[in-house]
Amino acid sequence: MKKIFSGIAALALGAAMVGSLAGCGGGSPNNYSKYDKDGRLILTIWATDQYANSEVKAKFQGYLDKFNDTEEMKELGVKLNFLPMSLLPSTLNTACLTGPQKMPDIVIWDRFSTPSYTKILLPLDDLIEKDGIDKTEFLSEAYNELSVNGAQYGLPLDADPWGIYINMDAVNAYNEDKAEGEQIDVENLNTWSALMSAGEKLTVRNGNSIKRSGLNTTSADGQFFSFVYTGTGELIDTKEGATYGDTVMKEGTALFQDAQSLRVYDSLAFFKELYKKNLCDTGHGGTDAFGNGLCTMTYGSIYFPQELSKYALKNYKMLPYPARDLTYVGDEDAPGAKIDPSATDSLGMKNGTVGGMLGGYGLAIPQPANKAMHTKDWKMHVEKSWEVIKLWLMNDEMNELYFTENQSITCRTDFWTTNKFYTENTGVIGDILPYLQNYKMRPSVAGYELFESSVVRSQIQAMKEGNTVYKTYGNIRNSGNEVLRQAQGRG
Amino acid sequence: MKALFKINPKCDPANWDRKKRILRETLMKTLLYLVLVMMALVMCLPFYWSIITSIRPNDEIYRLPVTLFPGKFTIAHFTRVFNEIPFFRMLLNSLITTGTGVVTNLFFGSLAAYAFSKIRFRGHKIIFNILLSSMMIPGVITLIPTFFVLLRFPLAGGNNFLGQGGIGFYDNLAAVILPGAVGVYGIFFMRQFFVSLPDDLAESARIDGAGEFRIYFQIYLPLVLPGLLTLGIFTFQSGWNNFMWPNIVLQSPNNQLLTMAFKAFQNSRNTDFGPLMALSIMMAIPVLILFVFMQKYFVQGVALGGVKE
Amino acid sequence: MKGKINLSMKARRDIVGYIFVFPALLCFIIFVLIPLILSLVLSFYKTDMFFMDMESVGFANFGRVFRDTLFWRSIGNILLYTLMAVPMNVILSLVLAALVNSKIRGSKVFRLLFYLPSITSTVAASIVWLWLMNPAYGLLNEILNAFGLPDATWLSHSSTALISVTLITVWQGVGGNMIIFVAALQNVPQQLYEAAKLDGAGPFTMFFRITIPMLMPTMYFILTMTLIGAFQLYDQVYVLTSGGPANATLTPVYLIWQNSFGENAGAQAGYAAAQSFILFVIIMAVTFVIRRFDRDSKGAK
Repeated sequence: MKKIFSGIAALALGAAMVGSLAGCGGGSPNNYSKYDKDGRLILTIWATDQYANSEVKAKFQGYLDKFNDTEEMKELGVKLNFLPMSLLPSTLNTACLTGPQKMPDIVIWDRFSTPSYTKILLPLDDLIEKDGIDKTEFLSEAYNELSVNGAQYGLPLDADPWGIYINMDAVNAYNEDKAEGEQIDVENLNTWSALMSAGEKLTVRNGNSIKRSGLNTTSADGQFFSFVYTGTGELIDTKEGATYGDTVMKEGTALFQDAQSLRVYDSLAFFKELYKKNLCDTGHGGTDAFGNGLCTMTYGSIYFPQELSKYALKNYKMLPYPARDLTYVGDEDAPGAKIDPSATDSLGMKNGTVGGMLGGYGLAIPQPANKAMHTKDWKMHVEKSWEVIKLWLMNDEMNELYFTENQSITCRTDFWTTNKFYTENTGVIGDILPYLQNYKMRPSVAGYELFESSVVRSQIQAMKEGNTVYKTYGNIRNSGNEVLRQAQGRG
Repeated sequence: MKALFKINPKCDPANWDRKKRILRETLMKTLLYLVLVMMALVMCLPFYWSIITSIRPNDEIYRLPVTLFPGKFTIAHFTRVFNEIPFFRMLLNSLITTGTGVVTNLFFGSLAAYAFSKIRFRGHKIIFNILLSSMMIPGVITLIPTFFVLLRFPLAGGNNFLGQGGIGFYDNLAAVILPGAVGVYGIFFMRQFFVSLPDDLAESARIDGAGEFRIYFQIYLPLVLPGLLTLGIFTFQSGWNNFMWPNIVLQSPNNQLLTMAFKAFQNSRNTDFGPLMALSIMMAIPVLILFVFMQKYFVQGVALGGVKE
Repeated sequence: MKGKINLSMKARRDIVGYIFVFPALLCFIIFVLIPLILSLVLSFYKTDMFFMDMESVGFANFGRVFRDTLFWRSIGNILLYTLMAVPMNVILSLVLAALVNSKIRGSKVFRLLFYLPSITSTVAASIVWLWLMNPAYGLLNEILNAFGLPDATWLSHSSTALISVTLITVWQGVGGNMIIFVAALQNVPQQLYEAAKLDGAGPFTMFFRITIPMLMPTMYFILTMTLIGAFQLYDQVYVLTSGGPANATLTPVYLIWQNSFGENAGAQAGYAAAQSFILFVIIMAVTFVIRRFDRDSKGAK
């Protein structure tokens, strides 16, 4: 017994010493700028948790090593040091509170979270103007996604379109013994009704239970925005920062006075219809099921193949989200609410167009939350970081190095038609590139993320479990506007 | 307990009774084991799953339907963990933060608990009640302010006397250690043990002229050893698995903890089940060892407490 | 005895007492009290976590909490969760403790096995559970099917998600409470059982007449702690469901975290502080009620 006690006492002493050592180990504030042995300034670059994945990280680090070794970077006298962060926005928040010495110099920034973090990102407008960066070189939706209230917070790094992944083995097997008219034509799988019927055809049932799902509907709630877009609708009026609508909803009636509300309503009705077909259950949605051939169509980004590489399935294609071709609003849900399928909207589009939702990263420069921390040293780092960003994105050779090494789509649209990587691409990038100009970014409005995750997705989930389209639409509008109002500080 | 003289067992009616009793006891025991084994199966199923996932190759992990027994064996996932994250650096950091937390919590927590239950200084009731009610405060309330307290800690990390100018304890292991150094839970927990011990031990030692610290350390502390060890396990385990706060206050690669390594194998887009499970198993081992080692002393300490009574 | 202790000795004891509690108090003041006060101040301002552009808004943040349907949804969820998880946890851990405390061979091994879930990190354990609970090929549904029962939806349907989360947290939480119960059980004087045995009491009678009454202080401790812990459910929800489906597993702490550090940390720190104070009041109220019950039951006896 005594032994344990002296042991514990010794441990306590040791721990106390270690603790005090740790207390003294804090970095001294004077060694902010660090240089490597060749005298090159080391700039730190942070990325989101997606880069923390060891395979993605290794790939990006491989690119970075080559980039660092180029003559151009040597000439700049700069070297990039890369760190993925598990909780990027939160860690960046706290780092920017602390001041320059614990901040990264550049961040690979999830574009769609820009509106919530404008305080810690440096507006680049002066630099863009000074160096005459031509914003029309970029895919405009991607460029604009980094702009909030007229200020530009970064330049787009990649275009990450989402689409429908389809298992071609399963489609070929289905087509094998079918007559011409009965076959599934992947080339023409470009309307909502074609998607729905293909989903039905490809679903294999065993009595009431599903053996193989034709179309993943379990995670469809996250894809709703793509369907709203391909139905030429928009969920949020970015000028108002709230959902569209001069619509007044009264008990039992829907008075749709604007086209946007009606289109969103119709997209919901399409989803309801899709859920009614019962094409999928939870076990047959998702990556596991798709990779194992238990689900024939699912959703994924342009980087989905990285995830699929672990599975047996190799023969698949990526399709853009199909366009609306029919009206799904039924009488039981909203009497009198009808969309004329032949009408042309203000954008000049008839019904819908193939396309979908665009994701992707930008390169941004963080700034300390407190203006007093904008030191001379920090400003020097900003200058260098801006030079690096320019080199990375605007120098043709360097940009090519980036997108070929990382297998990504650059936002500089010229490359798509001139560079072999794109013109001869036979993978999913080649599949989706022709439609990329149709893709839309998510609305650039503060609070949008919460609106999407806790209002829209949960309401669609509730609709799947039985709520009417009418009720769902009302709830999205009411709680959606409340959430947005609060997030924008409008009381 | 040998019988002093023998009777023919068959003729002894008392023996019949004994037989019945033995039968009943065996039946009860079998039932008990059955329940225990069933419960153990349920409780250990996920653990079993982690283990087989960590040792089977990827094509088995990602193939559906997943089989309950591994076909092939591989250590590839474990090597990946060692190759792709700075495992030993993280292990050391985790040991430092968690170990320090255990020691400070046990020592200062039991010291305070002793004072609250045996010294009864003026105001001990009020102070204890304040501490006690603070346990109802959801930790999330103090999240942002605690960050600021650490950032503006005077004289730490280049800060001046007023806490300005430097970075305080930001990105320093102390930022994980200090806020949890003396938990109210530990004080409350230890007090329950001290209260159950009689006061006269201290009274007589005081009359003999023993100092208060000696009374605490040499007389009472050995008697609450089971409590200390239990609290030690709890503190270790919660510190070991703490994963949100470190992500807020730490960032340099040199200061990462083991819980921060999960993201290397699991994030919003990708989950590498194999290395993830290999990592989680390696993380469980230290706690497991601690538990097995301490379980021996749980019993010893309790027996000691029993003798004294 | 006590009369003999003179005043100066009493004063000395006071000082020694203060010295003994000083480290604990210091830690409490710096990391609980000061942050709490700061947070209270924060709750009357409209501000983000950078404390720039602070604008005093009086009680507006609190008013907003009362109108916030999402917040009250999360409170409803957590009350339901607490109602399910706490009794389940306390009863199960007591039963397990009683089982492993019986003097049988291998009781130490079983103790270890029941404690295993508490050892595993929440993140890894939750990922395994996601797997086991997969409705199509998860092991749990296969087991149900083997007994002729239909598939369950587990975490994927709003009607079953919260109970699934409850099962997982109970699974992970009973081990710790079991250990405390075992420690307490070993402090129950053996003579009581022996005396009862002589009176012909069976194991169940002894459990309810001796064990439970002797365990009441421990029971109260565990009940309070489990309750307070249950109200702060966060980790499992973060990994398992992110609050879904259809907000069925949204918890207050998850919401508050999102508002202060998480994805929508816009201008929300002040509001998050107000939300957490309301949560504090609710926890206090519930704990108070439990305490009353505890006292009443003692009074009744």
